[in-house]
Amino acid sequence: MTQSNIRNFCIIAHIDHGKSTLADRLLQLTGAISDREMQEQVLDSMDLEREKGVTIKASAVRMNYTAQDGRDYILNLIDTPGHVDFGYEVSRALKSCEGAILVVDATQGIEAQTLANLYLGVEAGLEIIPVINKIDLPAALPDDVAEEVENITGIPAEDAIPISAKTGENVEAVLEAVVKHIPPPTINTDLPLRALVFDSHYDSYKGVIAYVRIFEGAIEKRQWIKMLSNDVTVEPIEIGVFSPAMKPVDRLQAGEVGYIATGLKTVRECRVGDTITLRDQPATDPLPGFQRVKPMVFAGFYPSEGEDYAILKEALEKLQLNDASLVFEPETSSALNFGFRCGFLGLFHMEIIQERLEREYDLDLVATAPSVRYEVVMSGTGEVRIINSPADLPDPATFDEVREPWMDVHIFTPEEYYGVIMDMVIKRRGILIGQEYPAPGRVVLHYELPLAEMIVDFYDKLKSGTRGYASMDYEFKEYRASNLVKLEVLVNKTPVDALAMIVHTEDAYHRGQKLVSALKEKIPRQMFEVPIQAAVGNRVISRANVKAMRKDVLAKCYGGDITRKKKLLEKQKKGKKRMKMIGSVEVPQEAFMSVLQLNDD
Amino acid sequence: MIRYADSEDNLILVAGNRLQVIHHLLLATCHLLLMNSLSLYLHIPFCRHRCAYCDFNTYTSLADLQPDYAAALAAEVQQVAGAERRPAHTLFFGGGTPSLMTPGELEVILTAVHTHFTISETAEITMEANPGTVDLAYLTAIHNLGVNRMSFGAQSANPGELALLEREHDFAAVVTAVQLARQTGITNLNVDLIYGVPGQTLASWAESVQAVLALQPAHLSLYCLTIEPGTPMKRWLENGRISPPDPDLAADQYALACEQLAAHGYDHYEISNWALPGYACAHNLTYWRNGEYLGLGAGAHGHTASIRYEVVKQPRVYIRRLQQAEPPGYPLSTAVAAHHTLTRQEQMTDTLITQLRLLDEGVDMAAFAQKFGQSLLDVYGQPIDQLVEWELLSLADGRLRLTPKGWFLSNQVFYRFL
Ligand SMILES: Nc1nc2c(ncn2[C@@H]2O[C@H](COP(=O)(O)OP(=O)(O)OP(=O)(O)O)[C@@H](O)[C@H]2O)c(=O)[nH]1
Ligand code: SF4
Ligand SMILES: [Mg+2]
Repeated sequence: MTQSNIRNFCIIAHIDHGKSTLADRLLQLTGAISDREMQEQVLDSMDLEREKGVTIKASAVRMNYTAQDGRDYILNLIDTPGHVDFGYEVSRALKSCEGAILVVDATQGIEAQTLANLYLGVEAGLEIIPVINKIDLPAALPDDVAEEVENITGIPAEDAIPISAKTGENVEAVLEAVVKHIPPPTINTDLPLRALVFDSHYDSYKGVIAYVRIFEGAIEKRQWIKMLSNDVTVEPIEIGVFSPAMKPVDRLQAGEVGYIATGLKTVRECRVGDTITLRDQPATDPLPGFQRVKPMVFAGFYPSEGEDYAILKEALEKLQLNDASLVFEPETSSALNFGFRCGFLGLFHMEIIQERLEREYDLDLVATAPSVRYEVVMSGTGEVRIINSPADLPDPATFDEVREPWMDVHIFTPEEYYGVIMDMVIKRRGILIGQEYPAPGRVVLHYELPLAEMIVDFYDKLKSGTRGYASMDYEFKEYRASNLVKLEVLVNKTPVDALAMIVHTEDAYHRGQKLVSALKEKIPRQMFEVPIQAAVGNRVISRANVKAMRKDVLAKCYGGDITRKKKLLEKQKKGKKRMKMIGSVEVPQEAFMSVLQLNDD
Repeated sequence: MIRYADSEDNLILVAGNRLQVIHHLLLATCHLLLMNSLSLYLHIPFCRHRCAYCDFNTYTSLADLQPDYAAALAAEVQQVAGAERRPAHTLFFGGGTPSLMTPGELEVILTAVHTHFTISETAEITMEANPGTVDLAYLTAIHNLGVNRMSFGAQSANPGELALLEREHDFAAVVTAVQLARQTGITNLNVDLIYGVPGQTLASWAESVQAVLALQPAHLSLYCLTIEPGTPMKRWLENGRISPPDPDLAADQYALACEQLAAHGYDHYEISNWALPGYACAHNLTYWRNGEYLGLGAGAHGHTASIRYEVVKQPRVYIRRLQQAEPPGYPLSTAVAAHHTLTRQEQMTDTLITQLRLLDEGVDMAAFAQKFGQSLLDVYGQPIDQLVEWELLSLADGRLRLTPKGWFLSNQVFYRFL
């Protein structure tokens, strides 16, 4: 088999436009998976992916295809997630391909991430094949959407392939286009091995499984490998391809996509973005690695039951094996005891991690409200301190300024929602930078917004405010100095570190009030009166009291039915056990998320 | 000063003045006398209409089953009793609405009870009744059958509250029922009232209390409304037709009742129960002393021989089950749905959460130590310390009791003993 028979490509699109469904059809058409084994979105193997219908991790699969030209091809497909939080997965996948199928929903048209991902693809030098999906739907406007695509990509409308990934209509044409238009990888098997780790997952038997694209050279099974960044050497347990299940092979060579089961136990030894070479004939230079993705959103994760700390630690370590963008460090809180401050790509990412921890590791977690990472410029020395947790903001007298991250935000929307979006953005200290009209009736609004204003509910509000029509893409722009203060919360006169927030001076009063009233609702009455206060510096800006409990009795115990009464008491006891103690005040875990419900627009 | 010896022959000191000593001796004697005597609860699962707050095991369209049900209950009495004719000193017909049973049906049941148990001469035989379901002839008939105590569900004297609760009687019916009962010679009467009702005020509650006091019943039960899942009231709460009762108002209502009833000579002997001297409910005392009782009838609960059990709830199933021949053995009948042998830990918990309900009696620490071979403070020292600090419990003269503050926060106390 000659190398020119290989095609490496990925599918990119806005979320839910049908990437995974198209991948299903391609797998079926090529016989990589039998009709009997077929289930919807096969590549979404995680429970969570299946349940949410959303791809979280990229995945790779190898297919054999006999094209109309009579030749046999090996097609390596990498499915990617559409959610903006997972843009990094997309960019990694792109680096391992020569081409990309750009899927656009025929009923929705181009959306923010269609554009964002398209630009990434073009930048990576990929051949783009536009596909207009969901033409089976009555609301589909394939011709209009193809024209939109032409306006933006310059690819003639007639080259866009109209398909229905659901019914399979015209999907064969996609495979033909892949074979025809996507160039085969350029390869050199004579050079020393250079394989790019574009993803990984952890297997308890086989250790870290590196997903690799071989750029140069070849690897045979049982050849010792070396990680170029850290000189770790190991004899892999197995090498293979995804078809789509892991299938061992004897040899992987330049141009191919597959896996190396390294047997390594920690992700630090085998990082995504690293280059793998052979121990005995090593390459000298790594392939251009991937940028280290920086976490943008931080939150404290604490086990509900203190004794679960060790399990949480292990679980985070395991998840990190599959998710290089997750970072964490130990943190202690006076209210929540021992936990971890974790960094995420965005709120969706945080939600996914939290759910996976709770589900896959059976943990019960308390998460503090998410915040961003601040930079504090200290007086005198000019030293820049990084603050991941609002409670850590030093005394204002000791620093010159606080900087917060600002984002470049592109919102893609039908024109009629211009006003609604403008309002939302201005309320959140956003600045309009520009606007473009890529298609009739559609506008791309370009804003700058402080990330702190976006992480709580911006996306949800955007969706509900525009009846789901607007879409958004964002990336980090820069740190900017802002007039920020620490808002502290005191429960029964005790400051609660886990509830501290950093807010803009002008919002402090308003936020403090809302937070206090939210907490007043969430903290149940105790045996004594509990004052709740919000303070900036030493100044209390808002206060409310949770009155002492006076009544807690059960109704008539009927006919000596003690069992039922005990069940109710049992439930009450369980509820209490889950409470966290602030001094002698019992605080339910939800209270620590109150900060999330503060926006009222 | 009096000395008791516990099981390990260590001397336990119980301090107190003479009066208390006598009181305790009396109680101890009573306990001894009653130790082998049972209480029998008989459940009657029929009502004409379901009240808006009710989640009891009762049915409004099964009146046709009553004769068969009476026969089944008689059969269950026989199954449970075996050949022993165990002594019993209280009988309690609860519901549902037991007063819907005809005298003939009740006779079937009572005959079985007398055949298979030894019912003492002075036994307390209570029947719950809804005002408006009893007339003179009926009351005379049941009095002749041996019923000597009636418990009337008055719930409120306020027409608006009665309507909201969907009670099918007015307060005049309560007045009549009480008069008629007395006329037939049933003088030991209880009246139930409910507070914490949505829309009820402190003033309207005071009026209900006054109206009931005017009847001078021997016994009063005052319950705080709990809006249970699955009841119409719960739905009204959810769809906003009624607003949730204010717990502080309920606390004020309770305090008001405590004061009024004390002023009228009633002894507040249990969290929700008051009696004129000598009229405490012997049947309910069995529950509150964590004593032994048999539960008979659909959905009834029983506790004896370290077993707690529950009878099937559905009257039809109940009747069918009692047609089976082989009962599993005392105290279980063929209609038992579930039973559970109590662990030592559970027995300790049950002892505390039942006995603490008795405000003056409380938990006798010496008796506890005797029964469990471990002192109360060794087992529950930590929660007791905390609860004493919060003034919800008090320790005095060898007894653990709820404080007046604890009366109305009893769940806060109880769950800590689970
Ligand atoms: N009617 C119709 N529905 C489709 C078609 N293709 C996909 N869908 C549906 O669109 C939804 C999203 O499809 P996915 O394949 O999960 O989309 P995705 O792009 O992989 O989504 P993410 O991974 O979350 O970004 C699913 O409910 C599919 O059943 C199509 O051709 N026609
Ligand atoms: S009378 Fe008693 S048992 Fe019958 S429905 Fe009303 S509350 Fe329920
Ligand atoms: Mg997908």
